[in-house]
Amino acid sequence: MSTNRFDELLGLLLDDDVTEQQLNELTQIVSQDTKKLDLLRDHLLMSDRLSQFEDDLRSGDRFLDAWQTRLHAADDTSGFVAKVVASAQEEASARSTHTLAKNENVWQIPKAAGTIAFALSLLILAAVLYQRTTDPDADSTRIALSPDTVVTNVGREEPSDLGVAVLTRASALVGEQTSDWATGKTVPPGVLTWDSGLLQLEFYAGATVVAEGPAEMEILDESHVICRSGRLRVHVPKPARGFSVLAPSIELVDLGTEFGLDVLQNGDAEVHVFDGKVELYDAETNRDIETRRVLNAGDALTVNHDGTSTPIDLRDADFVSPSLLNQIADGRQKKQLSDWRTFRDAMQDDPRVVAYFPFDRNDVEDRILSGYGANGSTLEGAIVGCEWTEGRWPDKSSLQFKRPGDRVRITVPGEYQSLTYSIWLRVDGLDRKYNSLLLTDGFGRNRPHWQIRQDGSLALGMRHSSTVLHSYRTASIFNLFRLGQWVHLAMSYDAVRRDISHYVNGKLAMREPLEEAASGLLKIGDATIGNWSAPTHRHRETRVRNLNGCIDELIVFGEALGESEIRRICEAGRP
Amino acid sequence: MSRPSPTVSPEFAQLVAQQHQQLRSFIRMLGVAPDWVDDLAQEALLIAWREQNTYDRQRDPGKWLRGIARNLVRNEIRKRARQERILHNGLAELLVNASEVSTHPESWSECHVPILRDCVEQLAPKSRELVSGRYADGWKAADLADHFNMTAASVRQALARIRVQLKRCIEIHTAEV
Repeated sequence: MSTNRFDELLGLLLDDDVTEQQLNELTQIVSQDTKKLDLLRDHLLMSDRLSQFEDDLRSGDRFLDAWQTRLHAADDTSGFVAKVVASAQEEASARSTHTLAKNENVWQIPKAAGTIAFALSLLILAAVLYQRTTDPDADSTRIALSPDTVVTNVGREEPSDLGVAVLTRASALVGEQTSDWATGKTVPPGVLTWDSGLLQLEFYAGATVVAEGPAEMEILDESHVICRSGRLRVHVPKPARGFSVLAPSIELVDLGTEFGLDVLQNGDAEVHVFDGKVELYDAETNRDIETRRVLNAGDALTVNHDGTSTPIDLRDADFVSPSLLNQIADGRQKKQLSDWRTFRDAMQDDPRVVAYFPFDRNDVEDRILSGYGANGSTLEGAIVGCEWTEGRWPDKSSLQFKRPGDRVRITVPGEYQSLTYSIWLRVDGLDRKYNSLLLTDGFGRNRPHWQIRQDGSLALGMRHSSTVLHSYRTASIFNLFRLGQWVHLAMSYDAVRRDISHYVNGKLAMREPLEEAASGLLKIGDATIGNWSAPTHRHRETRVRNLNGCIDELIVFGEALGESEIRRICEAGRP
Repeated sequence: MSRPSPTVSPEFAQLVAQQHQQLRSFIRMLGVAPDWVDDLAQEALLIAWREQNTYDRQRDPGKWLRGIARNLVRNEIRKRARQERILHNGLAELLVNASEVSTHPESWSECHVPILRDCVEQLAPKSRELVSGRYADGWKAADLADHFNMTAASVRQALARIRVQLKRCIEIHTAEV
């Protein structure tokens, strides 16, 4: 069958002017020629992309509006969906056995109706509605202090913040949920449970809460908290007046003051008023005026789980204040920095390391980035433009990349079958289409490009051959509320297992098989940290790839490291 | 008493926002009639929404959605009464099977609007007009032929060349990097 006839039939099909007989003929042709079948698929796909782009009736907004309508309708017609689900599950059952912990990077919708509902408002569904409940069983929204508290709406550019507080200090936190509780994180409504340690939350309404574990605390919104157990010290400046804490036996409403609340596992509670005035109501009375009591500065009492109360002596020192927590956190940071320095010294002797830049500022030559290479050799990076600044800890230095010219030029000799990259960085913004972590000069065969795309995904770009280019990339990792936090990223190119893995904060974020065309040794050679030098002609127009943020450690291993090793490196440097 | 709104997590909302364009094009590539592509894409997203608890987040979300879409189209092929949504049964079967073999879509097919826009804007003026006439205004080749003083066959050929040209342009912008 001639190519001309195929082209003709393809043209008719895409012109929506094709007869059944012509379709039969086209089917016959492509069933015998996979290249033509692939061509047909390409044209169908491109035709649809053009239609979406050009036709207002198929715009993203319209599509998402229609989906919203269908979503509402489908809510009433679950039977219909269930029918199709059965067949969809056949494929789903073949999926990988890897699973994430339920509370990891996932926002779980409250099971109990009425506690917190995300109202669906177009695609963005940004508004958080909440209704308080007095049903003690109606909690169960376990949350990770996840970065996913921002909803990005394609086609509606302004993101929405679903958080109600910021975790501003933490010390010695222990508990199943706590692995991702880093300072700077935005906290959405939900339940926080931990076994020991201290954290400080600054609520959007203005109140500051220092909480000590073991504790279980449910955040309802920016000015309402339920404390089921744990010890809290609450500071409520005037703008935050009305901040309330509900305990099993009492409800406290702060009238602009500072108080402590200690809730034991059996529901007994102690209230200590350090400053100002607090209103106390019996629990589950909906602030019945009959149960109202007012406690003034210096007052303290214990309230049993049955509601009876007894005056006690005030114990200010038992409730950690924000300034004390700051001192505790400082001490802990010093210990972390000391531990990291031990790790750094060990890394210099690690035979797998081919380049290690700990980003320690050299006071004598502060435009040189000192590093360590293979076999005890030293490496030097040339700092261009970047300024030294504070790193993960107050006494740790890092380099700040801000301007289009900022970069560090390095040379990493050698060729490697596999490679692993590890970096600690703080991303302050994704200004560029591609935001460089470590880019080899140009974009030659087997010379990796490691960077963050503007959509927040982490990408390893590889040229496997003159014609095969591939970007191995994760889903979006960075969003508005992950910016400004120290994060550990790692990537391994495993030539033996033939796959690429990306890691975020020690956890596997994506693993993808290598393209068939991938072969040969990898080479870094001349390369740039935080920018791109000597871009190819093809990419000249997008060559500005400077990072907006800070880097304070970069390690290149000449082999593929496994998940446990990546986690160990991350834990050794976790601020 | 008012019915509560269906709940959609921010994560799922983000997934829909990120994936719907590719999903719709993928459905077209399975041989679904152009007028029904978005309809089926919405169905696929509804199913995904219902089934999100069974979704393994280690998996590629695009692959998961494509799996759902593929099953929907298979159902369409099986159900005679709803065949209007499919262009041609035999062709759709071939296309669905082909999509299963190549589970990893080419990077160019995942391109987002800004790249496509850049590439379309780089087209020669006449090519740009042809694209606009065909895809924005919905004219068929015969209508465009009159307007451009060409034959319908040459309009179809020109559009085919433009699609190939755009694919190459997108590859250059996305393949890298």
